[in-house]
Amino acid sequence: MSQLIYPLTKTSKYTYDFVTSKNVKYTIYLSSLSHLSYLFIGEDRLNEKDFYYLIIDRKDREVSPSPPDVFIKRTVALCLFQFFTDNREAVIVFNYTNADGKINAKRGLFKRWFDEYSTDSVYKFYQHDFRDVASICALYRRYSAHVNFVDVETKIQSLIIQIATDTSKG
Amino acid sequence: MAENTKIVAHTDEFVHVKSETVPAWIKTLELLKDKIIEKLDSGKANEPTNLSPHKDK
Repeated sequence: MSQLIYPLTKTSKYTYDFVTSKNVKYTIYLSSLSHLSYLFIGEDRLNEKDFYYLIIDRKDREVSPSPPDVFIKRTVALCLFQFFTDNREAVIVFNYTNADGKINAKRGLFKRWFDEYSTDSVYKFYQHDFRDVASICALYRRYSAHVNFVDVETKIQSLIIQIATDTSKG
Repeated sequence: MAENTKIVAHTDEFVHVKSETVPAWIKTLELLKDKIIEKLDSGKANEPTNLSPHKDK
């Protein structure tokens, strides 16, 4: 019988592992940004616990991802659906750069993934491209119309600056 | 909205913004992601870390 997704192993509250048919391990991290709560005080309905940082980490970067593996996107999508079921007001934030020279492919890939699952969807996808250097994205429920994308952008920027400052401090 | 930034698409489902300028902080993102992964892999996911000196505020 064919499978629709790869089996998921939940390693912490919102961390999942799966292994592809090419024996490549992926980890999906959804990490709360609640420790940066001071950034969100006073937001209308949004509060610090609503912001999560998403990382999709391929552990073996030497293995070619082609041909496209549809099971990967299905597995990631399932994780995100489950996450939004538990966290209806969440804003998921993720980013990528052009460090591997494939930023345009990534931009197209994530948009196609969203389009594929967005038919009659309640989700909204926000993408900010900085030339060919980097992109920052946010995913959240459409009914949260009060979530102004400029505010989301400002918060993302504040977060990144804060994390950069903190990391440089060690 | 910042200077040199424009909205490419704005629908109920998709907002696409492009900036011609690249702020300095954006270039550190990939390095930061690796550091965050390191922290999460060390089993400290969802716990306050020294990434958050403001946690007591």
